[in-house]
Order: sequence, then C-alpha cells, then structure tokens
Amino acid sequence: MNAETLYFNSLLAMCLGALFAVLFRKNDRMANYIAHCMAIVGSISAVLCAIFVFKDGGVSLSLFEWGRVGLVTARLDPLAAFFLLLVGVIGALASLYAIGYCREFYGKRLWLMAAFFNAFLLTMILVFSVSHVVAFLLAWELMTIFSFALVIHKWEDATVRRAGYIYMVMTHVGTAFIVAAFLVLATAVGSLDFEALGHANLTDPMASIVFLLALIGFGTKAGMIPVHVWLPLAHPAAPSHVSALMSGVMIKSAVYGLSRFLLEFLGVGQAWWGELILVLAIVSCVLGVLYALMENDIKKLLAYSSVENVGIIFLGMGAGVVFMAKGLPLPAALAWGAAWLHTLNHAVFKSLLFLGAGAVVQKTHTNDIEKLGGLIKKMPRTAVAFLVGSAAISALPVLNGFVSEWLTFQALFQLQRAFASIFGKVMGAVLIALLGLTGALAAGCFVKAFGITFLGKARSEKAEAAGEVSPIMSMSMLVLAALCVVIGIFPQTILPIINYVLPVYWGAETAVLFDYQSLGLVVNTGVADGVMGVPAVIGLVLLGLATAVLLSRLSGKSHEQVGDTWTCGIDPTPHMQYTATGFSKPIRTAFMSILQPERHKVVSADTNSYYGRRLEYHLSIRYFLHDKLYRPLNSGIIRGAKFIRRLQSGHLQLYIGYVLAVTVVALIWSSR
Amino acid sequence: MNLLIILLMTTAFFLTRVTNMRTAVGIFLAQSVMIALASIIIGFETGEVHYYLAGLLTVVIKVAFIPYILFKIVKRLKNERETNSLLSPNLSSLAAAGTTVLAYGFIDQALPGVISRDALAAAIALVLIGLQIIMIRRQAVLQIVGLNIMENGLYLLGLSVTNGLPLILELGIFFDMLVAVAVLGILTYRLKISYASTDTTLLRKLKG
Repeated sequence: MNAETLYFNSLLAMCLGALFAVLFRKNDRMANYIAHCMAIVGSISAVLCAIFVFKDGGVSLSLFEWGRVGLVTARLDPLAAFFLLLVGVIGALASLYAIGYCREFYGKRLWLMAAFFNAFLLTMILVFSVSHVVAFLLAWELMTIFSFALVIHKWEDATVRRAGYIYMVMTHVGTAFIVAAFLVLATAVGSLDFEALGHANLTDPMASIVFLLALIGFGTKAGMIPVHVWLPLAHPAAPSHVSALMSGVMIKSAVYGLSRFLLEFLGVGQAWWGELILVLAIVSCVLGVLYALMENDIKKLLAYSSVENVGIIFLGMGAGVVFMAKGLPLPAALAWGAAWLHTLNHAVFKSLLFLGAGAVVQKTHTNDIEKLGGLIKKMPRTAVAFLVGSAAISALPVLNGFVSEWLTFQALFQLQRAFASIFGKVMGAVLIALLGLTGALAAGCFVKAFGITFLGKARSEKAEAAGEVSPIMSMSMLVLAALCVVIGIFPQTILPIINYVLPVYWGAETAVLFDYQSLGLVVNTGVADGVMGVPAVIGLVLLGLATAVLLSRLSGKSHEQVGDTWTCGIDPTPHMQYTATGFSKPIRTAFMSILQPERHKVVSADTNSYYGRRLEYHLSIRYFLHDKLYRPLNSGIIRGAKFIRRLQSGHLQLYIGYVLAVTVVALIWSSR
Repeated sequence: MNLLIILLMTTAFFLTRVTNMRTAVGIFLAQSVMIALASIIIGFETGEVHYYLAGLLTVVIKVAFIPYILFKIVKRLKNERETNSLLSPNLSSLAAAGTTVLAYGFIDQALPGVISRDALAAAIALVLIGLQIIMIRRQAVLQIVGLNIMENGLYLLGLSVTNGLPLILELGIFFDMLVAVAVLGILTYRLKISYASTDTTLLRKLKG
C-alpha cells in the first residue's frame, strides 16, 4: 500500500461508481447502494492516500503524455493531501448519508444523480491533485459542470433552473479570470506545469494583475462578497448531501487555488494584496452573517453562513500575505495555518449542518423554519447533531469552530507588528472587533436556526407529522458531530497535519509554532503568544458541575412537576411562540442602514375592529449589492447589447452594404 | 479584348439604370455572352484547351440555363416593378462611376504597370457594381442579377491573371452559381406566394 496505489484506487472506485449507477438505471435500489458504496470506498482511499503522503512525504505521479500540452502529472504534496483529506472525510460521510437520503429519489432519476455525485467527487480529487495548468482547468470546469448537473436535479422547478443558471454564469465568469491568471503566468514561464510556474519571477505590475485575476476568479467560487450571489441560490436548490459537499468541500477548492497562487506561483507579494483580501474578507464575514440572520429558509441561511465562514478563512489568508510581505514568517505560518484549519473545520460542521437540514427538509417537506418547531422530540438524533454543528459554527469553546477562530484571532493580533502606521494599527484592531461581532451574530443566527426549528411546538402539520430519519443518515451526522467535539477538545489531533503543510513554505522553525500538550495548546510566535487549554478548562468545569450536583443531592429531595408553559390560563398554541422573523428583529433594527428592511402590513377592514382582525405582514430586506452592483451591471450589458443590435436592422440592403463597405476597406487596406 | 471590356462596363452601367426585370436579365445574358467570348479569345491567344472548356461551360450555364430560369421567374411575377430604390438611377450610375475610379486606383496602387490593367480594373469594378446593385435594388430578381454580375466580375478576374484559374476552381464556381441561382429562384417564388410581392424590404418583418 502506498499513496500512489491508493490515489488511483480512489479514482477507479469513483469511475466504477458512476458506471454502475448508469448500468443499474432501471434498478434504483441497486444504483443507490452500489454507486454510493463505491463513493465511500473511493473517499476512504483518498483519506488513506493523504495519510500516506503525510507519513512518507509527497509523490509526483506521471498521469499521461498529452500531445503538445505536455506531460500531465499529479503532484501529491502536503497541501494537496490536506485537501484530499477534506474531500475524503466529507465525501465518505456524505455518501453514507446519501444511501439513506436518496431513497426519497427512487423513481426520480436517482441513477443520474448517483452517477453525477461520483463524477463530482472524482473531479474534486483531480482538482486538488493535478499539477498541470490545462488538466487543472479541465478538472475545474468538469467539477463546475457536474455540480451544476446536481444543482438542477429537480429541474422541473423554475427556481431551481434559475439557481442553476446563475450558478453557471457566475462560476464561468470566475473561471474566465482564473484562465487569464494561469495564461499570464504560463506565458511568462513558457511551461504549463505547476512546478515551473513557481519560477515565473513576474515583475510587479504583472504579478499584481495575476493576483487580482486569481482573487476574483477563485473568490467567485468561494462565495466571497461581492461575487457570492450564486451561493444562496444554488445551495437550497441542490439535494442536501450535494449541498454539504458543495459548501463543505467544493468552495474550498478556491482556498486551495489561492494557496497555490499566493504561496508558490507568485512568491512573496505586496502588502496591499493582503490588505485587499482582509477588507473583502471582513465585509464577507459581517454581511454574510447579517444576511444569514435575516434568512428564514434554512438552507439559504446555511449558504449565507458559508459566505461568512469563507470570510473568516480569507481573513487568515490575507493576514498571512501581509506577514509574508513584511518578512514575518512565523506569524504568516500561524495565519495560513489558521485559515487551513478553519477550512477543515468549516467543512466538517457546515456539511453536518447541511445534512441535518436535509434530514429536516426530507421529513417536513419545507425549507421555511417559520413552519417548523418542536422537532427535538420527533428527531432527537438529528437535533443533537444539529445542535453540535450550530455550537461549533458559532465558535463556542470545546468545539472545533472555536479552535480555528481563536487561531485566526491570534494571527490578527499579530497584525499590530506588521503595520507600522497608526492607521494600519487601528484598522487591525477594527478587524478584530468586527470578527468578534461576526462571531456574536453567528451565535445569534444559529440560536435562531436551532431554536425555531427544533424547540417549542410544531408550527405546522408537516412539522407535527415528522419522524426520525433512518439510522444510516443519523449515523453519518453523529460521526461528523463527534469530529467537531474531538477536534474542539483535542486540537492536537489535527494540528500535526497542518504542521506537515507549513514547513513546506516557511521552513523548519514552524515546527515549534504549535506546542500541543495533553492539557492544551500553545502558540509560539516569539511575541504575544497564545495559550488555549480546552481540556484543562473542561476538566475544571466538569469538576465544578459534579460538585454542584453532589451538593444539590445532599441538600435534600428535589420536587419536579411536568406541565405546559403557563400562558395566563389559555391553552398554549404554536402561534404564541417567538417567530423566526421576530427573533431577528433586534438585529434588523440595529443594522437598519445596511439591511434597509421594508415592512408591508395589510389590515383587513371588513371584520369587527375589536376582535379577531386579520393581519397580513410582509417583510423584505434589500440587498444593496444587488441594487448597487448587479442591477446596474445587468442593465448596462442589456443596454450595450441593444446598442449593438441596431446593426441588425433586418434591412437586407444594409447587410449587403456592410459587405460592400468591408470589401472596399479591405481593398484600400491591402493596396496601401 | 479591350472592346469586350468596354462593352462589359457599358452593360454594367446600363444595368444600374434599368428598372424592368426582363431587360435586366437580358443585359445579364448579353454580358455572359461577352464573357464567354473573352474566354474563347484568350484561349485562342494562349492555345490552352481549358479556356475553351470554360467558355463552353459559360455558354451552357450563364447564357442558357440561368437566364432561362430567371426569365421563367420574371414571367410568373406579374405586376412586379422596381420602385423606391435606395438611390435614384442617376445616383447609382454615379456610384458605379466612383467605383470604377476606385478600382483603377486600387489596381495602380497594388499592381503598378501590370499588362492586363484594364481587365483587372474592370473585373473589380464589376464585382463592386454587382454588390452595389444588390444593395440598392429592392426586387429579388434584380438582386439575383446583381449576384451574377459579381460572379462575372470574378470570372473576368480569373481570366486576366496569368494563365487563368485552374479549371477545377472554375468548375466549382460554376456549380456554386448554379445552385445559388436555383435556390434563390425558388425562394423568390416562395416570397411572392407568402408576401404577394418580391420586394425584399418586406423581409424585415422576419426580424425578432
């Protein structure tokens, strides 16, 4: 067994999975089980392959000789292996979940979905491993197309088609930028191999152009604001296990691409690159979480929260670029390490949340959390998993989100060393404050998502009729939840992996960056070191709790009575509960200038004005980016097209006139 | 040979003034006869066999077949006249004159001192005048005639370059022409049926 065998084994398993899904298109059960089991096998191979790479060092595999394009290789270095690990872990659990989840799709082109699912995993593995420009772009494009096919699986629905269309347009615009970035680099080097691109030695204006192209291109895939618009549309449209993969892994391909560009191809860059990334990242964080908080569609809420988390990842990367430009390798390593760790953590808890949301949607057939409620009694296992995911994404201690967000904070504190001017120092502090705000808002957002969905009473008959999902589905969710807890309490389980990646770029001294002992984690950067002792804190808290329980037991018998909530003597009905819209009202008021909420209230006048009046209440918020950026852009393009359309008058003589004019011009030109 | 070129240009100028379709087709026929003659004369001068063959093909296709089709169409199109051209006959003659000057200027610039200067210039002028006719006229049949004039110009160009074009190319052009005129003839007739007129400006309605 070595990394090479496992890599090809993984690719083969997924190819077979896709093939079997097509072969068994008449038999949904067979297609479901075989295709998804093959996906699990392939994903586990990918995980093992990554582990072998970490253990034995990177390998470079020649895949095939491709005519004039050159030798296509797959380079499994620690960075690639880290992302392969991501695909593997999330892919395996999402596939396991899919076996249960896809029963819903029997008779609804399940074989097609299973085949595309395998192909999607396969192309993601290729994106993270191939080390050749053309092959990378090809894999990137196929990944987009397969995910598009999965997004529009329920194409009978007009909103799904529209989501697919916007997804396609946005990612293709992004891909155009990526292609441009690669072409500039490749022409400068004269080679299409990734290894060679690192020796480009571009001079400044060119390097900055490549950086901007790559940032826009990959930023679109990541869902960075202002190019995030496809995310909240595509994630709800896709089946849930696909959303989990898309949000958990696919958008991270952008992190991978930017890491390659910023660390290998462009070398040490300008400080303003990092500052630009920081600004975009913090805007993504704050706006993403605000929009998430306003959302009542559970999957849209999760999608906006992905925008926020991409912002946090980009904060780490931006800080890393600044540190590199200022010649501070240890803080740079810390910042990048934080970004990668958050990439992994976000993949774990976001896919967990999407899987949980999928379970809820499957049982209640609605995405609208205003119609849910009380599900904790009907779906206890899903509720536990979702609660763990919610707490993790809110960066609560003892869960994994806390670890990486804490490391990001540590990196941002170091920014004070990098910025010399007082303006820079203040801005660095503002970043930290805004990231704190983001964390608080995220907590509010997930209190809303969990509370309204799972607590209280059912707000509709659909929610009343819900039941627990199949054990196979809840198992994969609970495994992910366990991962959240393990990484949260013992970050030392995952930090060694980050430590394999860091020395590649910043040398051996990064080995001492994270000092992890059984009781806690120490960050050594020379100045302002951080210490985090989650296990120690947990031990103390448990000790305190145990003492409290013991004391209460000793003090005498407690008296317990179970009953409905007291509502002044009326039977409590679901309508008396806090609504999701009501819950987010204080935030809406506080951030009125950004969100610009619009209320529309209709009171029907025909009933008695003292009793039982009917109220209709509509609330919408305005997305100022749509108004200020996309709509003008859109109408500008349409106006331009209309202007050009005047050429097409439909007048036959005019067309001949064009030909005549061109001929005459060509004649004059040639006889010059 | 020079006489033929002068006659060709004269007929082309005449065509810019014609509004009657039957006359236009007649002029095209006369022009084709001249082209065939030119082909045979050059064949006689150089002694190359393929010029005779090309001349024979011209006679069969451009003197006999295409005019036959066009006459047949014109006969079916009663009450069709060219009205409201883009340019009045005087102006279009003037445009043709300008084109001729342009063609001579072009030849003098591009190939100064070439032997067959007049023939080359006339060929280019014919191509451009044909294009002008297509552009200025509204009647489909007149536009077809314009297309044929262009083709005559091209053929003349082929004749006047040294040794002429290879026969296979000329065969290709002839076949092209034949198909084009056949298809255009059918389309013109369909136009008459659909719109009760062969005025091509009506095709504007097709625009979405």
